[in-house]
Amino acid sequence: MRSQVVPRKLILRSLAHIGIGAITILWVLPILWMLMSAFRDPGEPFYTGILPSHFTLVNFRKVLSNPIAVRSFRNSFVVAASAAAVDLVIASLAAYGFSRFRFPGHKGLQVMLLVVRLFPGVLLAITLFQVAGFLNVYDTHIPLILANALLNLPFATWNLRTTFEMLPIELEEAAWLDGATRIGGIRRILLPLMAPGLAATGAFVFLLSWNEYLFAVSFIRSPEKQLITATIAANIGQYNIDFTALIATAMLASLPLLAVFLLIQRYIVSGLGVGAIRG
Amino acid sequence: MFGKIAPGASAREELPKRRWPRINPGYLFIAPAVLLMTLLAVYPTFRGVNLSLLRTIKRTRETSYVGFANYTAMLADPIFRKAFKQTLLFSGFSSLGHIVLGFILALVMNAALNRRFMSMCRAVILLPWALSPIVVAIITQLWVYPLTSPITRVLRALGLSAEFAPLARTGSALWTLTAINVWQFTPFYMLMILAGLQTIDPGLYDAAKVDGASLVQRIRYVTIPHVREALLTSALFDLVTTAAYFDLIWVTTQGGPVRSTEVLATYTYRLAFWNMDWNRAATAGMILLVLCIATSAVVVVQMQRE
Repeated sequence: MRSQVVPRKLILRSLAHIGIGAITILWVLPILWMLMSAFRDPGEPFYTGILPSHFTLVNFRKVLSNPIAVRSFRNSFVVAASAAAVDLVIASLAAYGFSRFRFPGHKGLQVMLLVVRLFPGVLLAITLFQVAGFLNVYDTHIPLILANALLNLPFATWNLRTTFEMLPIELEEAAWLDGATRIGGIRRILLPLMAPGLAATGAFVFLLSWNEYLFAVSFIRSPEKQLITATIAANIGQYNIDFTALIATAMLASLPLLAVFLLIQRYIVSGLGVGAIRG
Repeated sequence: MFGKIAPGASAREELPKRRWPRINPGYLFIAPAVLLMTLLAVYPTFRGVNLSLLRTIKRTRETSYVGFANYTAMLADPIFRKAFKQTLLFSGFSSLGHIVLGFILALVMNAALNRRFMSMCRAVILLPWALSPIVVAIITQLWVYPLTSPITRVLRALGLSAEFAPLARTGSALWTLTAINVWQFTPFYMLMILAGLQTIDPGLYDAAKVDGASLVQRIRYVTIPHVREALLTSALFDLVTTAAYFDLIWVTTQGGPVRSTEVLATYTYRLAFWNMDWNRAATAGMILLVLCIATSAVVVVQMQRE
């Protein structure tokens, strides 16, 4: 009896694993296709084969020697890194406040974060556009940085709050007994322990800000200040597109982030869930 | 006030202490976040409300207060109604796809016994979600353009010469965008649901098995009741997020052909940044905001009740 049951279970198990693997590969097939096509010879039309007949780096050379593309990458980097830095400071303070203190309005402010998380981007673009014109910062990166920081603030706060709550208050109390101030305790005791959480949160805010398109296309007019998403999108609609160069640009704009994403994804789940809305 | 000092306590000691009202230090930590939200969300919203109550004469740039006239005019506008209906269709079916497919994927992933293999597949399947909508738009464009589309090639190889241009037809464009949205975001909901599934005590399944429950019955009576709250909450938040979805639709179809993929977000954007009709754009944006807040209020009230 036993010898019959075990192989059947084994077969079922391996079938399940093969099934999951197949679904996974099918799901990311379009991305694999994009990665392959970035190495396609620009002279080889797509209808000659789904996969390129040989691989070449000429597309990447073309993109990296295009000053507009290179500048767009740099602008995107500046905006995304600044938004991540702003959020790390503001959100870690807020997360600490929410996790260590109870005060009137605790719940109300959580709901406010939630509303910000669900705020329609297009309405924000309109109203911030008005304010940016009023403050004379239109066509600069400042409104972009602030808008991205605002939109990702809820995620960053929730994610860091969970990280703070995993560290017992006793750690801090020990530091206070040794004469540390509250800020000193946070800086010397908590922050080093939170390094992975902070890095992952910052990296994810960076990723979302890098990927953002609506604000990038609304707040910037000058081509030399354009972010990479807006630059790519402006190329999509054109008639004689250099397909392979466009794909190579897209790949350069996404591959480094996908790699980082694979490293950090396990650390960001707690900030994503709506379960993060607690008292 | 001074009379209240307890006998025996010296006034010199007591007074300086009470000069500053004691603030809960929690507020100091939250203050920067509140400041950012007030300056960038609360204040602009009030400006938005104000804009939506005005009308501007284009030639003279004169503005006048018109009350809710922009709202009544907009609700009667057939294009607005079309966009509204399509928003509900797009976000409704996208969310349905996310939750149903995400639940199935999460069940399958949760059943995989090899943890390392499962977490590897989970990470890889999440990749589309980490892509910029602009990159997804490029892939989309190349997959629906006959000269570059691998799908056209496969169809030809199968002897089907049917022309494959789903974004160019009014009947299929919105459904194609829905499918792409489902492709990109289902893994995210899978992740959320999977996190819920992993909190279920495996002993419950064993107990149900001993009682003779079939696989379907175990899912129906053990799994679903445990994650139902999480599923409903995710679905409502999903509806709200997808209702405001803009990037992919704008970059691929710009609401066309013949407005067949026009949703509230693209409609609002066009009014604002193409027609520079800020009053009507703010009106449309406020309607979208009310729709989003009303839907999420249902969730918040539900969570308070728990």
